[in-house]
Amino acid sequence: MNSYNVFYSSVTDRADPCLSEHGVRVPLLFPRIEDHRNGVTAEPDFVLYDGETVVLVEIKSGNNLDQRHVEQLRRNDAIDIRTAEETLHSAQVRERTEHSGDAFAVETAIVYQDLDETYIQEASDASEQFRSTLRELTEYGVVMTQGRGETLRPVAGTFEADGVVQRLLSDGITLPTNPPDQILLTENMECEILAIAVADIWGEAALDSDDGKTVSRNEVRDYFAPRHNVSLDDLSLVFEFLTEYGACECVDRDEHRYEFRHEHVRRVLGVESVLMEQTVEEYLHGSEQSTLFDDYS
Amino acid sequence: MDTPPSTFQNKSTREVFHELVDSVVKSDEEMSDKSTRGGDQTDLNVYLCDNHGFEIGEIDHWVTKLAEDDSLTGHTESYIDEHSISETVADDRLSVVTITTPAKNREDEFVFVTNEQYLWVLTTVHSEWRQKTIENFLNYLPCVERLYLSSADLEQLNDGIADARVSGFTAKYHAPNRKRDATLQFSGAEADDLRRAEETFNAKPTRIEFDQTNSPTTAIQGANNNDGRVTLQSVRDGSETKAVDTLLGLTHEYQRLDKAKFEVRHSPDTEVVGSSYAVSGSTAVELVSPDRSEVTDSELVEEIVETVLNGNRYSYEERDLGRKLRVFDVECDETFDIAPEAPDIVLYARATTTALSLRAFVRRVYERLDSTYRLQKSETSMLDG
Repeated sequence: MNSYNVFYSSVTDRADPCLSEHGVRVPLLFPRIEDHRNGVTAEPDFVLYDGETVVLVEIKSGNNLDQRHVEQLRRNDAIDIRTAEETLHSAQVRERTEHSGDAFAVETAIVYQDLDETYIQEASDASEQFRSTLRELTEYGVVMTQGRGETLRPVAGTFEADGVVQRLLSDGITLPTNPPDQILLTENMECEILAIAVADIWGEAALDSDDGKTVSRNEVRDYFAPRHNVSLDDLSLVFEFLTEYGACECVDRDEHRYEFRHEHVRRVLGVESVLMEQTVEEYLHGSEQSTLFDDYS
Repeated sequence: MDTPPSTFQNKSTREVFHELVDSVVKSDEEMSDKSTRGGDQTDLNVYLCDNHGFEIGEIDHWVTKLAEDDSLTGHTESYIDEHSISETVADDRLSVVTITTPAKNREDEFVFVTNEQYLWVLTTVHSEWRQKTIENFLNYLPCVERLYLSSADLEQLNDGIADARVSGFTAKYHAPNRKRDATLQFSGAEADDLRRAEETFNAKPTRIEFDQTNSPTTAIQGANNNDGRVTLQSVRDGSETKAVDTLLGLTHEYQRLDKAKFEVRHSPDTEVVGSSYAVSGSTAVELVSPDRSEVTDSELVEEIVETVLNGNRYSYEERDLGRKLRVFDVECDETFDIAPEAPDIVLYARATTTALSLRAFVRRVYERLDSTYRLQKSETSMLDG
C-alpha cells in the first residue's frame, strides 16, 4: 500500500521533476485490461499517459524478485497499442484530460522498493536465481527502483521508445520524503486493509453532507470489483467491526446498509491505529494472539 | 456610521467604497498633525473573509444556530448573551449589520458585502470595540474565515502599492515553543528598517503601514495586516478616488495571494472510472526552511501536538504507520494530513479539505509554534492539466 503512495507521489508537484507538469496524467489505477483478440488480460497498478506513450506500471512492495513478477510483466508487455487506446477510450481520457487518447508506444515497467545498484550487485553475485529473474524481467520491461526521499529511476532494462515520459523516467525523479497517504488498495485485500479503506472512503465523505453517507455491503463490493475480489463475508465482518468500534451504524440489517455520520469521524480516523494492535477478528472475538498482518510494510 | 443602509442599495462595489472612504477624509492640518497613527481618529477597516456559505439576509439564521449549538465554548455563549445582532438588507449583495452591546449602551454598524467567494466587512468602528463586536462574531461564524498572508506575501502586497513607501510596521519572531519571542513595533520607519528587523532579529512583518503620495504630497495613509484586514487611516481631501483605487487593488491582490497559498483547486477525489479508479488531483501546503536547530520528525510532531493541536478545535490520529497525523478540524468539519519532513511541515489536502482548515492551521503554526517558516503550495491535476 505504501509503495503505491511512493510511486504516486512521482506524478505530483512534490516530486522533482513533476511528471504532470510535462503532461503526464494518471487516467487509471488498478485497471483490468483485456485484449480479447490475443486473449491477454493484464492488471497493471498504474497507467501513465502523456499524449503519446502509455506506460503500464507494476509496483512491488520490497526488493524481492519473484518469478511471478515475470509473468505479470509479460502480460503487461503483451498489451498492444490498439488495446491501450481502447483502454484510454473507456477511461474517457479525451473528455477528462487534455490528450486525444492516441498512443504511439506502450511501455512496461516494474518498480521495486530500494532495489539500488549496490543491492543488485550483491544479490547478483550471491544468487543465480536473482540474476536470471532480473534478466527475464528486462525482456518484458524496465526494472526500476524507488524509495521515500530517493530517486525513482531505472536500474535494468531499457524503454522501447524515446518519448517525453521515457526520458523523464530515465533521468530520474526525486521523490518526497513523506508522500501523501492517498491510495488505500493492495493486491490482497485482507479484512484489516478493507476496514481502513471502507472507513476512509465512506467515513470521511460523511463530512461533506448534513445527512452523512449511507452505503450497502453490495455497493462496497461493487466499488472494489472486479480488480479486487472482495467477498461479502469479509465485508460483513468488516462492517461488524466498524459498527462495534463506533465508526458507523447499521441502519438496515436485512439490506446490510450502514451509515457514517459526522459524529463517527473521530472513530473513522482511528481505525488504522486500532488495527495495528489487533486483527478485525481479534477485536470482535478477542481470540488468541496473532501476528500483525505482515504485508503492512 | 451616519450613512443609512438605503444609501448602499444597488450600488457598485466602487460606489460603496467611495461612500465609506468619505468618512476618513482629512484636511491638510489633520493629516500633518498626526504624529502617530491610530488613536482617536476614524479609520476605515475592511475585513476580508473566505466565504463558505454565508448569504446576505441570513444573520438571524446564523445567530440562532450559534445560540442553539451545544458544543460551543463558554466564550461563544457569553458573546451571544451579551450582544444582539440585527441586519438591514440593502440588496442581495449588501447589508448593514448592527451589533448592540446593551451593557455599554453601544450600537456598532458594519457593512457586509458578499463578492463571489468572499465576504467583506467594512467599518469605521474603533479598534477596541471592533475586537469585541465584529472580530469575535466573524471568529464564531463557522462558514466564514478571515484571510491570512505569510509575511513574504504581506510584503509583496505592500510592494504592489503604487507611489507608496513603508512608514511603519509590526514584526514578530517566535522560536519553536516561544522560548524566544520578539515583537517590534516601528512607527516613522525609514526605507531599510523592515529589512534590518528581519536580518537582525529574524522578525517578520505582520502589519505594514504605508504612505501613498498623490503628486507630491502624502494623500493616503493606510496599513495592511496579515490576518485579513486592510485599513485606510487618512485620505487627503481630493484624493478619494485614488484611495478607492488603492483599496480595491489591495483587496483583490490580498485575495489572490491568499488563494494562491490556501485554495484547494485540485482535490484528491477518487473517482470510479469504468471498472477501475482515478484520483483527480493532489494539493499540499508546505511550511519550509524554518530558522531553527535540528529536529526529528517525532520531536516536530510532539511540538505540533502540544502547541498547535491543543484545545477543542482538533482531533487527530496517527496514520500511515505513524508517518502522519490525520487531523479533524471540528470547527469547519474538514480533515487533512500533517506529514512531517523535519524541520518542514507538509499538509496534504484530503477530499474534505478546503482553504478553511489549511489556513487556520497555518496561522496557528505561525502564531504558536514558529514564525520563521516560508509558506508555499504545491498542487497537481492528475487529469485536466
